[in-house]
Amino acid sequence: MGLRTKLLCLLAVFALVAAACAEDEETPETTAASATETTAAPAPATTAAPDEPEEMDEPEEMDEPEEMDEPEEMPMAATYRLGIFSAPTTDNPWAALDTESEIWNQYVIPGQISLYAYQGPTYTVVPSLASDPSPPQVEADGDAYSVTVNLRSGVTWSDGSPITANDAVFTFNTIEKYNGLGGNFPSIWPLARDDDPATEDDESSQGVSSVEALDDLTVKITFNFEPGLAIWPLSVGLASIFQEAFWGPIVDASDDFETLYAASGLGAPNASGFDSAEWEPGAFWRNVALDSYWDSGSRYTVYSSGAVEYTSGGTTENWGGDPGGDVVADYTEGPFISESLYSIYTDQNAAVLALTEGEVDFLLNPLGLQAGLRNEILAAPNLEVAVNDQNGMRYLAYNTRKFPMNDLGFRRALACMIDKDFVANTVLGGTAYSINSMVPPGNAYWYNPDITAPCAGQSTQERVASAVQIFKDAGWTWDVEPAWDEGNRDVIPKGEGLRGPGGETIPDLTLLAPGPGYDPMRATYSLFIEEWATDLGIPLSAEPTGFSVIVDKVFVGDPLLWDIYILGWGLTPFPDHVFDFFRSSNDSALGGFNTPGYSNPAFDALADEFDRAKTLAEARDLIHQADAILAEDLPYVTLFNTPLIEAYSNHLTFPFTTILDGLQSAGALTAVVTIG
Amino acid sequence: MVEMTNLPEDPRPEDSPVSAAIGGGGESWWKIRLALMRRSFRDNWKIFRRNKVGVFGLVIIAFWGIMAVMPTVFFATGFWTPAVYDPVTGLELDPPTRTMTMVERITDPNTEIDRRAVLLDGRIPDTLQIGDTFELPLQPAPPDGRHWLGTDPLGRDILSQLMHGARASFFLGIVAAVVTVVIGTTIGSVAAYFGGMVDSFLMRLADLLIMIPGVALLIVIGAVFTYQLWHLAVVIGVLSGFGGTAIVLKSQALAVKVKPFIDAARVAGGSARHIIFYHLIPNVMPLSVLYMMFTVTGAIQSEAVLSFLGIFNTDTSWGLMMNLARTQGYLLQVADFWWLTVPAGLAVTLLSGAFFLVGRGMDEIVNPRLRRR
Amino acid sequence: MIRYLTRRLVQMVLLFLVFLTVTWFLLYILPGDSVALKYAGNPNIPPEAREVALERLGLDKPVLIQFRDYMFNFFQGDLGVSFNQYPRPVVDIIGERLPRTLVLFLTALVTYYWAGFVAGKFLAWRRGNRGEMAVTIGGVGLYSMFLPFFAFMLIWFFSVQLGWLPISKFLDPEQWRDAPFAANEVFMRLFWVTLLTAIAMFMASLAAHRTRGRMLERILRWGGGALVIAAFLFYWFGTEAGQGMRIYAGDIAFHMILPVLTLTLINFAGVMLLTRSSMLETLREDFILTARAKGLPEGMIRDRHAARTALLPVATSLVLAVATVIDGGVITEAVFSWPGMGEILISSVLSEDIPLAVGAFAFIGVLALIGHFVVDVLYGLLDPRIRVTEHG
Repeated sequence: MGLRTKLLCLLAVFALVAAACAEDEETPETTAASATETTAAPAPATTAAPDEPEEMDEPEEMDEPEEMDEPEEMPMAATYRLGIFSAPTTDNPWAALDTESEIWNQYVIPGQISLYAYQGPTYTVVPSLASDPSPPQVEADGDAYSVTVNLRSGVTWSDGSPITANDAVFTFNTIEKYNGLGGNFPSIWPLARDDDPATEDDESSQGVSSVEALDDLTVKITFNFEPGLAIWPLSVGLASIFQEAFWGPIVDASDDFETLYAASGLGAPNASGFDSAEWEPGAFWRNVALDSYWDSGSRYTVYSSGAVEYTSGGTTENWGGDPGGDVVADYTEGPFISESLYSIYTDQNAAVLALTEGEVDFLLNPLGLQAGLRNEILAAPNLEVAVNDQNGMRYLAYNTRKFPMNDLGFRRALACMIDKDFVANTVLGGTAYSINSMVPPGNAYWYNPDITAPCAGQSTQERVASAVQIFKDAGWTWDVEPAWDEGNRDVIPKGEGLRGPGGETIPDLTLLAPGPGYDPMRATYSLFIEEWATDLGIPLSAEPTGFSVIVDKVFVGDPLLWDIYILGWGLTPFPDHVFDFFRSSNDSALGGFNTPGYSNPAFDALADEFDRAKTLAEARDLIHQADAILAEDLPYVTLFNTPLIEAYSNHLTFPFTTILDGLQSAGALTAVVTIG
Repeated sequence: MVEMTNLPEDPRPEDSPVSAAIGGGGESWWKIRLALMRRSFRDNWKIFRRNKVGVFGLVIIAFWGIMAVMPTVFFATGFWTPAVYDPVTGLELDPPTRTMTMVERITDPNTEIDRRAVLLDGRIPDTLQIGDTFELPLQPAPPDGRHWLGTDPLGRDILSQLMHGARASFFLGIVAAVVTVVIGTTIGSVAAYFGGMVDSFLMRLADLLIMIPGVALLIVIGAVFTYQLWHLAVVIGVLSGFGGTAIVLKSQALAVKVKPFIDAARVAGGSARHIIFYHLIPNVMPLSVLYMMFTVTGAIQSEAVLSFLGIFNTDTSWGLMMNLARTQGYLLQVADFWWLTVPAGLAVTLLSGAFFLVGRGMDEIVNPRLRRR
Repeated sequence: MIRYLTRRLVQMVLLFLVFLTVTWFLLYILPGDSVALKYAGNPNIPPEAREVALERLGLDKPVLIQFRDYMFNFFQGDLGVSFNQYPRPVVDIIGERLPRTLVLFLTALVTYYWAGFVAGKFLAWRRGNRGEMAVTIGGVGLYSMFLPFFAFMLIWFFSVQLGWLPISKFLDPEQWRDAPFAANEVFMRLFWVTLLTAIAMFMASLAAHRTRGRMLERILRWGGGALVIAAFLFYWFGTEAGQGMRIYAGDIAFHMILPVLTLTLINFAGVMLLTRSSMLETLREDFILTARAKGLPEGMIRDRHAARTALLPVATSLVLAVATVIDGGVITEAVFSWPGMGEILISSVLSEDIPLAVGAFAFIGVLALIGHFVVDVLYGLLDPRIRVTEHG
């Protein structure tokens, strides 16, 4: 009975805690009430929104840039409430570029400044800290190559101090001190390693050998080789620069990089217009808007050609070429909010409830919302929708090191049978769309529209005939040749005794694909591919396999132990992956990403040329050529992509909502969004 | 004591010294045992029948048993064609459509679409004007004459998946339960019979298995091996049999060990193996059957949770149906898409609960002190 | 007794070593490694960076060396640094998560044990009527509910339809903006204050129980209880420390209501049925018959005689449940966005963060071992029928 009473009492105690605080509970209730008021208030304003085209060129806003110059006058300083699905793992911007390069960290940690930056929504490379409208060319400098970049004056850290060339020097020296660091660092700040003869021929020895400050506003970057576009400006030019005053003492204090990574970066100076103010682990993260952000009030007009018109302090500059085409975005830099508050929801369903209930304004998720939420979103009158292309692909990869995958006829015949549109539109119910090239169509500048899938547009009947012909042309034979039976609307008889050009029989093949629990789309896709392969007489069986098991087998393990697999990639705006995934020097047996073991001297030559390319046009031409070769040789069969669906509270106004990878790729536009 | 007016608790009739003396593994021994078992089954059934809760559970299990058999009947009679009704690769090529009207602002998302819907669904042409209608193919589709419980987001029949899921659950539950009983009784009896070091060793091992958090362990194992359903069944069986069940059964076996007929068997020259398998195990078996029922409950729930989290690779299961609803975003839209979640969720509850109820009913047979006065 | 306990302790330490070894190797043999998983999806990270990362995490060394280093450091109190929250020490992460899990799940545990015990007592007493069957089937129905779905339905009902309770999370960020405390300070304070209050209550009722006079007992029980509650209220409302934290503690308590309710609904049936069985067995004991024969009131027999004796198995199961409380909430934590130990277990295992996973498993193991030990000792002390020397 003692226990019983104890239990009773404990319960009473907890009830009392709750009751005692009931009065304090009014606080959340009132905030909730005011939140619903704010959602109700702008309703008249947003009824106009549906009529507006996607571009959202709102003339009212364009008339007011002068007013926006004075942040003090901004009346609508509001909290921007965002939801994220996983807790940040660090508050340190250095660690966030290394081992902790997780999207959730990148969302919340205020961005560092770089010499140049991608400009949304066109991903044009525009000056950020640099003042030259386009990145200066690298020039020969004795044995080495160097580039001299002039910096803009008036760019300040969030603590008010100016950003100088010394900060860039400090950043590079720190990386050099810690031997190049890890994670993203070797790709954004590649270190030159000349002195080690053992690695002379290795690509990793090519990089930046020094960064010097010629004066406060001039920085000289020296390379030990002639860098192509991919290194300058698209790596080094976009690399983060850290403040010496804040980080210097920490770096000086220890020779161990772990000390640097372990240091708290909360409130560390940056140049993004926000300061990280508060981090309650597992619950929320809060960034406050700066009163004096150096770029506040500047006006950006972005054209569909990629050109950007930048107006600041009465002067106008043209970046990325001359203005042409439609205006896709026209806005004034903010921030127009007082703070951004990131709440952590570990479950997406709960997060969506929070969104429809108006508890948060936007959900940051690299994958967007699930297609099935369609009705849920539509039923919520307070939600707006943005649907964008994802920069990614789900693909099937052949192990070209092994028979029969090393046979082009085999690869093409199976690819011919894969009816991508049927799966995307019918099986997946229109929640996905098929893709054919290595650069998805959403990445408009680099996309090669001429690429088609083998047997595109054919019916199943025609596909069977085409696949049989491809096999025959490649010298394959059957005991029983597969044929389409129109009466049964099926392949009858199915192929039997399929033999390669040399009379070899095909061993039993396994198609590794994520299981239905991990990704029902790819799991289902694999079953259809299995069926089509069986129709032709290919002994292929789909095997649902854990993601980590597939990764281990194809990237780490013995490259001869798998046949065909299905996985996916998330990609970057600059599509160097087209070469990284397929050049023979990147074979996964050597630790690279070329899992198919694809090896084609003509392709490798293009890759080397791409490394040296200096202009975007040149690089694009090479990407298009490479994409065409891959569409013929088919080491990968690209399968499908899903649209990135985002829903947001309709009292938010974004200057643009059409952007590759969605608004989340721009961190939900905290610096330019308006709430009201 | 009062309860002795009921069936004597121990030794049970079949464990009289007579049977122990006959014992030795001969055929006659089994005949007697079988006859005794039949009789005790009849007696026990009488007791069980009085327990309404247990009977209720049994009825539910019978219902799902019939459900599990139905697909075979449907496919064999041609009532269902595999191309449409296969739980994994089936596909409704001709889904029902619904007339949607284009409006300014949606009031009923089931019959109206607006500008946002055009963005969201690539199949709706973006040329629609206000007032236009569009025939939207439904996938998932609500129940109709062809699909009695509708279809899922991949166009597959829900009822077929539900029936195949019942099959998977029975298979999983029964394998796990058998493994539990075999391991639990053996370990418990061996530990009780030998005592000392053997006992300490086995019991500490059992403690170890209890210590490990179940779901996390299943995830680890699932990541190492690509699970099949029977792997999971065996793992759950071992965890439950070697863990909690073995400890309980050991204390039961300890109580049996001190009974006179064990001594009699020992005096008659019975080997350790003989005594354990012919005297100890049969006597702890009834209690183990009870734990078997609880293992089934646990196994069904574990599988559902693992599949729901997307960790377990299987073709069809109720947890996987819930997982699909979750990953596609239908989990909370119970009002609009109830057929995607409610049947599977209810099935897990009903079947696992039914086994639990049967276990409760058996409790009264195994433990006479719980019976009605 | 002392000899038995020593032997038991030695066994426990050995068992723990085995447990740790098994866990470590299980995680180690997982296909792939933390680095491969993390970098596989990011083509911009060159292979060299992966090697650097492997080297940094010590994953390039031979397995046995890694294991030796880990064990060596472990027993010096260094559980290593997490691979996923590099370079944060594992102990630090567990220190952040443990209080959150403890406060939520201990509260839930106490609530559902209490609810189950009360319901079980009722069932045993009213056996055979329709009420019993309804409660049993209802209880088992709840017990076998599919937890994630059920939890979402409760959220949907209480938070969305009724709007009474928060949707998830353990605090309201807008209220905690610029809070003078870290959430964990509040969790710790909640934990200790509530624990102390509970212990004081327990003491008061124990004292009441020991007294002979009925009047005095009542005074002690209700008066003592009232006094403790008054002290509790005074702490939160009267003292400066309590007042400052009250709003925040209240916010956490408010967010706890729904998860505790969910766990209680799901779990109370187990305790209820255990209590019922235990009670039914007790009711056949001689001393109850004697009490009945003496003509004592039924309520008194039930509460003072039967229930007290029937409590032993329930209490045992409670102690064991406390031991496993930190791993119990994998699903609950995920659904209610309550980042605690369960979340660590799953995420560290899935991302192959070996130090964090082993660290979390080790904490659970230690707690479970202590739980078993306490049960053994309790049984040895309380139940004379069990001679500890014979017990394995």
